[in-house]
Amino acid sequence: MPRHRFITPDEQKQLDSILRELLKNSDAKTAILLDHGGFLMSTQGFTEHIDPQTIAVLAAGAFSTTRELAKMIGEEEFTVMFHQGRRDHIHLSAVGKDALLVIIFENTTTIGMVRLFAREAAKKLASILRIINQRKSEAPMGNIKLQQ
Amino acid sequence: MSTVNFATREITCKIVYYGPGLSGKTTNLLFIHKKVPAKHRSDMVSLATDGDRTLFFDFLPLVTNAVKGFSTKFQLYTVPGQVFYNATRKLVLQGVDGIVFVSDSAWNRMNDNHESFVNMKENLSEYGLTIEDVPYVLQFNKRDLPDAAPVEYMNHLLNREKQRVPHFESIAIRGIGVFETLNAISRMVLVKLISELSQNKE
Repeated sequence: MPRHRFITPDEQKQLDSILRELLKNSDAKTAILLDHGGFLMSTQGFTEHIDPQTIAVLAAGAFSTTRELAKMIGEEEFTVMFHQGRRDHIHLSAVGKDALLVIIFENTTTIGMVRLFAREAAKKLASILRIINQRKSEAPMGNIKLQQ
Repeated sequence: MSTVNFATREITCKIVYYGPGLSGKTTNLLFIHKKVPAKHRSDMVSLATDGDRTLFFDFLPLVTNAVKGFSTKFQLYTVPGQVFYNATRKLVLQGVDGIVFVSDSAWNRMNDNHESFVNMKENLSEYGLTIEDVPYVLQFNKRDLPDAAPVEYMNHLLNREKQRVPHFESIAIRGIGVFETLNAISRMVLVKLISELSQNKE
């Protein structure tokens, strides 16, 4: 893994658009893309009463915890997690080797729909993240300078 | 791993407060949360036990304008200090960009300080990192204790890697030394990021 990750405006657009498409197809409410360290990479959909950054951090923690549980029973990791509420639910799934997709949805759709479109979106997201993660530092970064 | 996003003009870095149980890691974050205006921070998340001991981590996001043209986000985490929570400590270190090692100045905690420091190096190695790879500072907390060990002794115990690092005396519960420590580590993290970028550009 590189020490730093650079996301260009074009890549950000692609990530955002995959999440928007996922929401449209699955009729879910919110989609959040993050890495295993809890870094937020994209948020789409309804975010009025939620803090995506905090959700990302907690989701990364929950995923790490279940990965340790998986190892204990001889699995590499559990690739999907589902938290069922009364009205709102959370679907959490792995994207490639180091990212996660959190989808928040209501009873207006089904877990099956969410799972189906999450799987499709994960493949597309993973291919963009591979490019991002393979990049060293030749990104069009301009001059980054500390403020005095 | 710091993330530089050129679309949103954001830089995000992760700073972890590490150290033995009850050394004051959460207290540091609580003080920062109390003093930083709400527009520069979000709510603090604490995953604690009923007895207020950190179970998984505390998390506090801060936003600064430390870098020209970018909004700079620092994600502050603590680890659970208690020895038997090593699995979670290791998880929190994932993607770390900078570390504040919070040690307890009481004489009878010197073994715990040392053990925790060694444990931190072991856990970093799980991610292929050595202590030289990650900027870190030492905070000698609880300097108001009547039996506080001398600073020279604590430096001798903890500041003995190839590269000596800055140390800060603190009384975190009263906020003394808290922001000095945070300013130092955040600057070190950004200086390292910027220097690595310019090296790669040449």
